[in-house]
Amino acid sequence: MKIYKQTLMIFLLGIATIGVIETEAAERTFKDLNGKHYFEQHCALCHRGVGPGVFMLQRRLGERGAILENRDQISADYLQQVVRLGIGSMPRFSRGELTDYELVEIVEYLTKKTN
Amino acid sequence: MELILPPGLSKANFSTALEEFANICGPQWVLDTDIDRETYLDLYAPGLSAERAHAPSAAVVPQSVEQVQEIVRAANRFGIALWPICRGKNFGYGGAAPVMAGSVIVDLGRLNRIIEVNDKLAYATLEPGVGFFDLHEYLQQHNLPLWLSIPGNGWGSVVGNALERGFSRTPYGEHANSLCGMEVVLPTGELVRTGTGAMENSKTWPLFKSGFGPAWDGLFCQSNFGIVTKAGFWLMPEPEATLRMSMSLPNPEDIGWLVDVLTPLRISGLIPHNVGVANYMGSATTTSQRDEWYEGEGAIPESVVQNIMEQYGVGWWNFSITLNGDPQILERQRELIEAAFAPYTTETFSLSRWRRGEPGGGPTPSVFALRVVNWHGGRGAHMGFSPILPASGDEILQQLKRTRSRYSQHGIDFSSTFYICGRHVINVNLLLYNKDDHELVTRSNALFKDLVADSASAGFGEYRTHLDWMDSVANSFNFNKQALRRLNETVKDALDPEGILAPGKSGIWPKRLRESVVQEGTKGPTV
Repeated sequence: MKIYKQTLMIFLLGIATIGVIETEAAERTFKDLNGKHYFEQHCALCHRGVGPGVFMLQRRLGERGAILENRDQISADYLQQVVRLGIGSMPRFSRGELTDYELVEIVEYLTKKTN
Repeated sequence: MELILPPGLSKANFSTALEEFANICGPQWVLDTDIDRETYLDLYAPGLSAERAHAPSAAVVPQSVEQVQEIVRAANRFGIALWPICRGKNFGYGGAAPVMAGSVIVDLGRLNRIIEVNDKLAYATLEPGVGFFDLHEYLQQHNLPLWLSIPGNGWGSVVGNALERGFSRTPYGEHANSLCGMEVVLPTGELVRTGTGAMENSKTWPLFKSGFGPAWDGLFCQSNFGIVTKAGFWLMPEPEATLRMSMSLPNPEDIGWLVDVLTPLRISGLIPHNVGVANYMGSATTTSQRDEWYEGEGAIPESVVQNIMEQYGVGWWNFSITLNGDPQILERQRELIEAAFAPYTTETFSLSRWRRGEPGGGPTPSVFALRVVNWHGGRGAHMGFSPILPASGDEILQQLKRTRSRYSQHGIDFSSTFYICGRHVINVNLLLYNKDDHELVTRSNALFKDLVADSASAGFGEYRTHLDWMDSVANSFNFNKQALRRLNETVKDALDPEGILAPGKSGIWPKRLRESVVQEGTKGPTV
């Protein structure tokens, strides 16, 4: 069992003060500032650093699959469905919170390198 | 998610109402597809039937106060129930979902302007769609020496969390107490400002709470008397230094003397914030899953508890105190706190110091705490049972005994934090479940029902609860044959004669629905 002891103690001693630690995304050879911006605005809080999305993907897919931005071969349709309908304990995102345009940009950001 | 119409409304009238909403906000901001409805369901609903019981019919997403007013006026014409949300992250208490199925969500997420931040007088004026991440980023970008008080789940709205009386472990941790002056759309569509904001040319709206005559801000907390569209919110000036003192204690009974030691220090102000004393479960639930520790029947046994404590190096209880201010004064405060603990324990505090100018220091928004829902895997979720108790060691020990016994009886793992807030203690107990595990959800609901009843019998009510339990908890405030409920209903009927705003919120139902909803059996479980 892998225990994140340092993280754990921070949690126990001040749950409200945990920061989202930025994890560098995989190297990219393209610029997609809009998609990245929307990803950071809506997704990064869970899908970077010690976020719940990293934790849960790590359990399902191992270290390589833990960081969403590093994933290969993830389809646009699948991403759109997961964002709108949720998966596991990931929340569903309404169009009030994340517009269709913003979702398309995020999906493009996450899938572009495989296209 | 199939359409559930607002009670009493024909499909034709519902469609006409949505057309009106579209005329007000633009058609792209009326969300009424099956998938749209899914996106506003309760993420952590205790079971699929509970999820459906609180399904909205649609959502409308205004961008201005005027649009909110027009939506409310249209709702009055059609008799359509509205359920306002700020950002919908009220996880564990219903998320974005309404009490009453068929309600139309008024999603205030696009009212997201930080109208003003004043660093000299330490306040912000905010719209309800501003999240903790947004405000924190703003303070950082503008290099403002102000700190936010942030709850464990930092994803939500600053104003929304305060209106729900959220709290945290900072000197500004009673978030409702930081509200100062509101702008509110009343259920008739009229716009009102509270406190000194009621003056046309007020310069003290976010500075002085009371105004003149009755103070109304409290009436818009956990209520359905209006839609808050702006609020003043006090922020904490960055201190010169902090000193964090952390300790773990080995035995469940330690909570008794700990409460008695902390309480006078908290009341006197020597400890400047609510102290959260969390049991060992926080470590395991945020970094592992249950089946890694135990796959047998019932709650995890004591041997596993000991295993968790050993592997993580934590105590049965774990807490920290953070002192803020002048470094020399902090050291004297530390000495006084250590002296108060010395007669009771040989454990020592671990210390961590920060000075202005060093990295870090202030609270940072995070959603790390949401990792707990993965404890059972699947579509993990939680509910919180959170009674208010007197800050007395004897009372706390009795509550602990009662609650642990109930958790054990229902085979649920005991996850508990006592927040020592001064004269009172809030005991937040998590019930973690996979919402597709019907048997576990059934046991969790049975446990919750027993916990509410036990606490009510002992004279303790909850500070906040899930949609399913709002009627039950409201009913437990039963002095003089529910006199408080009748008072709330009197105010509700006066302010909201058509009964359109958030029916059922905090157990407050408008006249037009009080009888019919009960007869249809759509109200939550009763104790």
